[in-house]
This record gives sequence, structure tokens and C-alpha cells, in this order.
Amino acid sequence: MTATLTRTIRPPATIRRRRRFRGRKLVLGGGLLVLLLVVWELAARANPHVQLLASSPSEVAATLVAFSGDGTFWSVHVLATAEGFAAGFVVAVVGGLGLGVLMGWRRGVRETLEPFVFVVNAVPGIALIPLFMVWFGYGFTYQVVVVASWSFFPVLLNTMAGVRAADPALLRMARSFGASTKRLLWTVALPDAAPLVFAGVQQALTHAVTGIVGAQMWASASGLGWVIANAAMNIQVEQIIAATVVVAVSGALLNELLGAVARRWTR
Amino acid sequence: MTALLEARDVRKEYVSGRGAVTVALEAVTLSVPAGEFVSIVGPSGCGKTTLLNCVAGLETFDEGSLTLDGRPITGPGPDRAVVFQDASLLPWRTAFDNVGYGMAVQRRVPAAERERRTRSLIELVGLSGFERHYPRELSGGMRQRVNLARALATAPELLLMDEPFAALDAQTREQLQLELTRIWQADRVTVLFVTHDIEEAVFLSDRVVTMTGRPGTVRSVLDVPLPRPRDPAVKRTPGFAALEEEIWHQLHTPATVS
Repeated sequence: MTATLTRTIRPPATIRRRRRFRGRKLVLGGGLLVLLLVVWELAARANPHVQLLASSPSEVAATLVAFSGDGTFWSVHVLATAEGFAAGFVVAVVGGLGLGVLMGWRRGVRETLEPFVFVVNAVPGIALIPLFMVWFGYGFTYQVVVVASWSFFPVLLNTMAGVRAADPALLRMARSFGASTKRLLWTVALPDAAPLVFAGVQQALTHAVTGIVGAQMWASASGLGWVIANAAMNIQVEQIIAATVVVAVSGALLNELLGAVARRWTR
Repeated sequence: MTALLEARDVRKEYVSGRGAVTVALEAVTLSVPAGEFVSIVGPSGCGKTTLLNCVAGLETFDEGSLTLDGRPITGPGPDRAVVFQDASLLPWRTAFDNVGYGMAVQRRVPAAERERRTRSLIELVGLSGFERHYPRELSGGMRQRVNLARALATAPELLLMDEPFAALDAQTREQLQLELTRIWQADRVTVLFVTHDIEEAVFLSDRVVTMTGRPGTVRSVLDVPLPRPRDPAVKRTPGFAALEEEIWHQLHTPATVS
């Protein structure tokens, strides 16, 4: 009896967990990262083989500082990667959106192109790199084509699925007011498809980053991909890792940025 | 005087994938005079919604004619507006922007006038204070108010309502019926209202059309001589009950050859 009366009332588990979640995630995730870096550093200092094959956090950090001070790193390599990435990504998003809307909206177009899209989508992107190199030669066009081909399909497939799944009740409503096809697309089908389209664009971003690095590793005279490939030939592990870190951090930041935009747009 | 909406011998059939033909509407003849509130009552599957969709121009029919003010109906037009059974509100637009959507699509009124009209309609349907709410933040009854306001905002000659209160709970339904009579009393827009609820049809209408199914055809047309404005208490009067009884019989006894 008394036990029941004096028992403290606690909020349900789900509420408590949500309240602590953010800080906890940061501490746990950050803690693990720091721990791994410390283990890596200690291992590298204790064993020269580890130092040779895996470099060390301090050496990578020093390389990053050296990169930052080196004008050509930013004005040549990072710029080349950013340009190729941006151009290819834009081509993929614009093309994927356009064709996706067309295929999602027009059954005839979809049925004509669908088998073709599925087959081409099944080709591993990396297998096309040598072919594109032969076709477009060294340089910008080749990189743009590689990046676009890697990131085109997620946008296309998601846009197509989203437009196709547009709520028929909403379309009927818009049609009852006399909406034209263009109006139906802009005010109903596309907003309805927006979450899926953004998911596709976000996926495409990751593919585009992989694409540009791959293209530059395979055939290029500049760019972060070239830095990585060049360092690998000279067995400069710390440079490989440092360049990779730059790519990874930029990719993650762009991804976060895109996520924020998507959340705003899809409210 | 000819009526606003005239349906003559309308026939509509559906052909299934395997080639089987279902006759949805057969020899449907009906007229809705301007300024009247006409309901179509019938069991589900009797073709009443199909008829409404044909009038809205959302579906085609195979034979007969449908005219509005003498003009044949060939597709959706600004002279008609539909209030759908499910509210069909755009989830990414606020109540205010949903009310303005029909007008925005039709582009017949300038933006400033659109905004003024939206404001007055929000007030008319009792949604003041909810302008900035998204559909998911509104109750079922409120969503139907937005649905109704969106249709009224386009100032149609004929308002088509497809069981708009069917999915609501009994109390909300009764409240919205009452408000609809109030709004209609002020506006006198011509209404074609589809329902399977006999009481609702009698309470709202000047005239009730009964339809029976397979194939969907008009069984009878009944005048509702109850005085307006109507109070819910009218539902408890013998005259109201007699009309309900009459309609119920029309729907539940086989047609006699005349």
C-alpha cells in the first residue's frame, strides 16, 4: 500500500530516451572516433610496419596542413574535382528529373524505355570508365560523362516512381477544376513526388562523388582522384588518406546541406 | 423554362479487361432547375457517383446528352465545381492555399480578388483562425469545410457534391448538413448532391431523385415541400418521416411497368 503511494512517477521509456538522444549520440559517436584515432596513433608509433602501411593520425593531420598551405592543392586539384563533380551532378539531376517526369507521366514513354533503362542501370558504372575514356578522351567532358552516368539513375528511377505514384484522388480534384497537364504536374504530381525525388538526388550525390574520384583516378592529370592515384604509386599512404578525408568530409557536408534543403522544401 | 442541367437518356458502360460489359447508367433522364438543391439517393453501385462524374466532365458517357445551360458537357469547366467524398486537399498547402487552389487553377480572378474571396469563404465555412493549418492538422469535418470552400470559391453555376459527409461521424455530419443549408440559403447556388443517406437527402433538398442499380437508372423524382430555412427539428416531424418512408419504398420495391 505505502509502496504504491510513494512510488515516483516516471515518464514512459520512449519519452526519456528521446530527450537524451542527441547529446548521447554525439558523445558515443565522437568517443568511438577519438578512441579509434588514439589506438591507430599508438599502434603506428609502436610498430613501423603499421606506420608504413597505415600512416598515423598525426602524419595525416600534418599532410592536411601541408595541403592547405599548398596553393596548387586547392586551385588545381580540389577545383578540378569540384568542377567535374558539379557539372556531372547537375547534368544527372536535370536529365534524371526530366526523363523521370516523362516516364512517370506517359505510359507509352515508360513502356518504351523501361527495359533499356533497367539493362543500362545494371551495368556496373566502373566498367564504363574505360569506354568513356576512349570515346571522350582525357579531360573535362570525360569526367562529366562518368559522373553523370553514375548519378543519373537514382534521380531517374525515384522521379519516375514518385510521379507515377502521385495520388489519383488529388489529380482528379485538380482536373475537376480544369487543370492543364502542366498544372497537374507542377501543382500536384511533382510536389507529391518531392520526398522520393529528393531521396534520389541525395543518393545521386554519393554516386557523383564516387564517380568523380574514380574518373580522376583512372585518367586525369589533376584532381583529388589523381592525388590519390599518384600517392598510391609512390606509396605515400598519408597522402592517400588525407585526400580521402577531404573527399569524405566534403561529400558528407554536401549531403547534410542537401538534406536540409530537402527538409525545407518538403516541409 | 429549361433547367440548368439537363440529362437525356444518358447511357454509360464499362468494359472490363476480359471484355465483359457492365452498364453503369441506362436511360438516365434528369433535370436540375437553376437555384435548386437536388439530391440523388441510391444504394452503392447504383451509378450515382458515375452520373456525377459525367456531369463534372471527369468521365465520358456513351449515349444520350448532358447539357449545362444548353451547352453540352464535354469535360471539366469553370461553370462546375466538385466537392469530393474524401477531401482531396493538397497536403503541402495550408487551409488558406487549398481554398484558393481551384481559383488559382482557373485563373479567372486576379490574385488580390482571389485572396479577398478566400478570406470571406474561410469565414463562411467557419474556419477563421485555421488559415495557416495544414490538412493533417485539421479534423475530418474541417477538411470537408475546406473542400466545400474551395469549390464555392470558384463561384460555379452548378455545385456537385459527392457524398461529402459520408465519412464523418454522426454529430459532425449533422452539424455540416446544417451549415450547408445555411450557406446554401445565403448563396442559392444550384446543387447536385449525391448521397446514400435518405434523411440527409430529404433534409437538404428541394427535390430528391432516387436511383436504382444494375443498370443505374432514375426511379423517381420527389418534391420536398418542407419550408425553409430548415431546422434539425424538422427531421422529427411526420411530414419528414412520410417523405423518408416514400423514398425508402422507391428504393426497396421493384419497379412496376407503367
